[in-house]
Amino acid sequence: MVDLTHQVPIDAPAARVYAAVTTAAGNRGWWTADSTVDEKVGGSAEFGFEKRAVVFHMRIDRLVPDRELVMSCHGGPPEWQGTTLRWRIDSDGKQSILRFTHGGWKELTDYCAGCNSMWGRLMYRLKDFVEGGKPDPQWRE
Amino acid sequence: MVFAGLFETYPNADAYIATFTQLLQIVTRLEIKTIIGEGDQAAIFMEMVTSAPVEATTLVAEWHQVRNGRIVHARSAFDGRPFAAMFARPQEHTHG
Repeated sequence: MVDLTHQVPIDAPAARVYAAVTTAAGNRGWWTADSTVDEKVGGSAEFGFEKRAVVFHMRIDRLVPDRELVMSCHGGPPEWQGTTLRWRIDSDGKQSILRFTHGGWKELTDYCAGCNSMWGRLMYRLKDFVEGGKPDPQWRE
Repeated sequence: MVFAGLFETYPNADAYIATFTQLLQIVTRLEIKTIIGEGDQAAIFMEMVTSAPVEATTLVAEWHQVRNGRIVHARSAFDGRPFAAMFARPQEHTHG
């Protein structure tokens, strides 16, 4: 198994960081405009790209308000099947540290490495969105 | 209904039908060779004739699981090498 791990400091309270990764509006601000999230444990989340040529079908497995989100993949690209996205926020009230792990990859393929690079880019897009408040998703359709 | 294909898994019927409809654009003929049923499951063997990306006749096996008269899970198996390019994603097409 391969885990991809990232971490960025964000100059914002944990609640804003949490909202950016746990709500549809939040994910539309930095990841993809085609985001839907049923914000409860057991709820579904979908992230579509390029007019839904690619769709990640996720299930929310864990929610700890202002602290943690874990989602697992149950449909989409085969390499994503069974992998998990884990967002964890540590905060002192003003600045937050966002720790992210895309875990459970079966092997480190070229595609996996490409995803790792993309996550690095997305982490800073997420940071800019939370700090600036202006939606600017990587994918707009 | 979940359909587990060779290249993609679709978590519901709508997602599967949407992609299957696109796939039909390259399929010129589907010929059922046999259907073997046992209890609440069935195996279907068919020949799929395609015009692109290669002109080929490919034997496809599907394993269907049925509950209350409806297909709840299907899994497909075939030699996908001629079709792999259709589903390949260049590295820049990662989405996270």
